[in-house]
Amino acid sequence: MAETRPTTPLLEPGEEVVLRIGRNEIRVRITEDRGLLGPNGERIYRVHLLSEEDGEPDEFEVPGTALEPAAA
Amino acid sequence: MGELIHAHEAVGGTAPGRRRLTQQLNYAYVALLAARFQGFCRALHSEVAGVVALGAADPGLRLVVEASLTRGRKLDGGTARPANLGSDFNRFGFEFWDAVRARDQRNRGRQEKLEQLVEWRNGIVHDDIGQRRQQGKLEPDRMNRGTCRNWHGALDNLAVSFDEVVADQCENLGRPRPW
Repeated sequence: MAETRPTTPLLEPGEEVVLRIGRNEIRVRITEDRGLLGPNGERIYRVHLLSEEDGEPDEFEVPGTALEPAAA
Repeated sequence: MGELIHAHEAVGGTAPGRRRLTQQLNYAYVALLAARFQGFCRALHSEVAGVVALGAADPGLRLVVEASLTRGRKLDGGTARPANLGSDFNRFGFEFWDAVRARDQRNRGRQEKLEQLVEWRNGIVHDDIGQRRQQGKLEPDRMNRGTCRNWHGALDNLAVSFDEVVADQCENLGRPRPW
């Protein structure tokens, strides 16, 4: 069976979103759309942890499927 | 890259200024080559991080693993010099450069050429070639199109080995071979 590419909404650099890890929600900002680098062509984003804005930049990559638009 | 080579060939003749113009093209070639190689290495690292993280059965754990593998990565802010590559790719649980050198005995020399290229690239983008030359940091201390092509060939071959050793390591970690 052909593998299907997960569909996730396109997010823009600068956008604030919520990253769900287990039961936790973490607010992050998209810093870069890394493209379809994930397994099965999954879209990967580089994100910046907002709680660390005043400290050292804390950035890492996550699949787009783990990100949701932040409530206004 | 090809367009720069054509531009180099198009600048013919012996008119004054030709050498200066071709040297500027060589500098552009080196800067572009270093940038493209860094982009390749960074994308490769992201792909492998995703493959490795997918080994975690729990979706939350997968995110923790992927974030940990890519957090504070040297390739996100630094050049693709051998030390930065080793630091980032060693996170996958092996000695990256040992594996690369074991894959092909010529890779030791190619690793040295990568270091040379990055030093030249830094001299070009920071506009301090003269200072680096005086400090003996530039090897060779003069470069031309042949040097650029030699570096380009070394990086092409390193890229092939990088692909192979990280795919091997995915298998070592119990993951399917990604390519």
